Amino acid sequence: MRHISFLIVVSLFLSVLLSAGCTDISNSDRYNDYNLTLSYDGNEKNLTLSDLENLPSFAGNGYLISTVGIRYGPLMGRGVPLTEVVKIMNGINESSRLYFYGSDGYLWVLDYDQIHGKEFITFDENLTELKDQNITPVLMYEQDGKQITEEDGGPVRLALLTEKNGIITEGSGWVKWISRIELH
Amino acid sequence: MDIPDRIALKGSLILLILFFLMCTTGCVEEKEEKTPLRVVAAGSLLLPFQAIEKRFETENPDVDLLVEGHGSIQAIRQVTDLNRSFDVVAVADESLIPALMYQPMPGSDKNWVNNFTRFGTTEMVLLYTNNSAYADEINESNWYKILMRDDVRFGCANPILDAAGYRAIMVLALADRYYGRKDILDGVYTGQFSPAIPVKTNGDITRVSLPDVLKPDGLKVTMRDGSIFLLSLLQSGGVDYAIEYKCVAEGSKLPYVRLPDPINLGEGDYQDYYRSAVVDLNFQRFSTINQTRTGSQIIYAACIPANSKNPDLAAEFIRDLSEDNSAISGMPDPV
Repeated sequence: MRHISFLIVVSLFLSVLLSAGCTDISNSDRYNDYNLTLSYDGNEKNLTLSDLENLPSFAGNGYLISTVGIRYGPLMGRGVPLTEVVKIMNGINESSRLYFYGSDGYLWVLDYDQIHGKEFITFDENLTELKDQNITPVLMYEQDGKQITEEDGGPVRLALLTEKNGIITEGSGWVKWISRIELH
Repeated sequence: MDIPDRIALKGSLILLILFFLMCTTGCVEEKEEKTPLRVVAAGSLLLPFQAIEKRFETENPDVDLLVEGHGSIQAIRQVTDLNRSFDVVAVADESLIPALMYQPMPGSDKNWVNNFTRFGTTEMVLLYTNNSAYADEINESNWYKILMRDDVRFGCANPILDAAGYRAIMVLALADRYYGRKDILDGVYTGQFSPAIPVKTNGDITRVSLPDVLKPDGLKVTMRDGSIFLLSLLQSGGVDYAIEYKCVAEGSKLPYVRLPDPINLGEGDYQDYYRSAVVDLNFQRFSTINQTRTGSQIIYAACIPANSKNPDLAAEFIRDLSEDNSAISGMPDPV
């Protein structure tokens, strides 16, 4: 009986080991260590993922198209509206710009109107331009009810969300792996 | 050990082996029947690469050619910055390969690449539809006068994102020089933004400095992330004209006006002339590339990253690209 017990223990151990090999590596370490640096007026402030999750959030529809026409989505996203982020940075004025840096070295810039969701180009499913759509740019940390995977730009991605579904936005503003935001 | 224990032990061992096999089978990827050959290519190559893919897979039935499209700089960054494995990188601007890939791979003394193959060339043309304003009168001599008319709408790709975008600006800058004018670039493009885009002229050199955010003012200019969207914009009547690659124009079956060689960026004899048009980005969009784009002949080029899993097949694919592919719609001309 001792042998059988031993084999059962070994089996259980192997099953845990092998099933761990079959499972995606958890994002938790990366996400626990995440720091977003906000740079403004000579100050720097770091926010963790929890800090972001505790700020007011917006949930909405996301759908983007890349520069070569590949569509990603539709998806449901949740994140902190940029209008909330700039409050932490002591506010902005009409000549302000936000520089968004991805940890991969990518940079994108939004101006005052864009931070407030204006002047983005939007399309319907047939890629016909739609005018005057309400866009909410957010620092998205949740996609389809889960943390954003690294492949999708997590822990935090700049996203353009809408209340209506089926609204396609240009992909240039969807910066992956946001690590730093500068106020200029 | 008594007999029942031995039987139990044997049975358990068999179960254990079966269990082990079951678990490991779940973890091992199913063996692919075909060898994947991964190609990352500039967006303007996606249409002709559909035909190339079909032909290559017919010639190599054991190969599955997988093509992924991006802007040229982004295509290279998939390999160098995002650490993705591709067998071939094919871009619309040969100068990007030495600039971005003649560098050591992280953790290695090897460069990403040490050479590349030029496999195609094209030129910039003025694309339109039969419904475009003044479509019945536009030609190679009057194109810029028509573009400057108040009621003519011009479409362009974002020059910060797309090589076709900054090349369109270069064409307009070169047109000023070629036609001895100072109002073509300003009237069609740089003067149509708010605030206007700064342009400096020093002798023959025209230098356009793009701001960090580009916003057209009024209806004259419509800008899109990528040049691929200009086709649907033209077809839907959203704009009347757009400056595009000739190979893309031919793939679209839309009519186009050829531009004179000194301004169309397609003729090697005018290389020095082309260099007089310079576009500066006002911010470092990518940390790995400088902010200045200088006019030059358009050359498509391909390379094999040092971490390619199938370098021999990749070389065969690039040889295919370099052959006469004039029968393939949208393919750049042979060099």
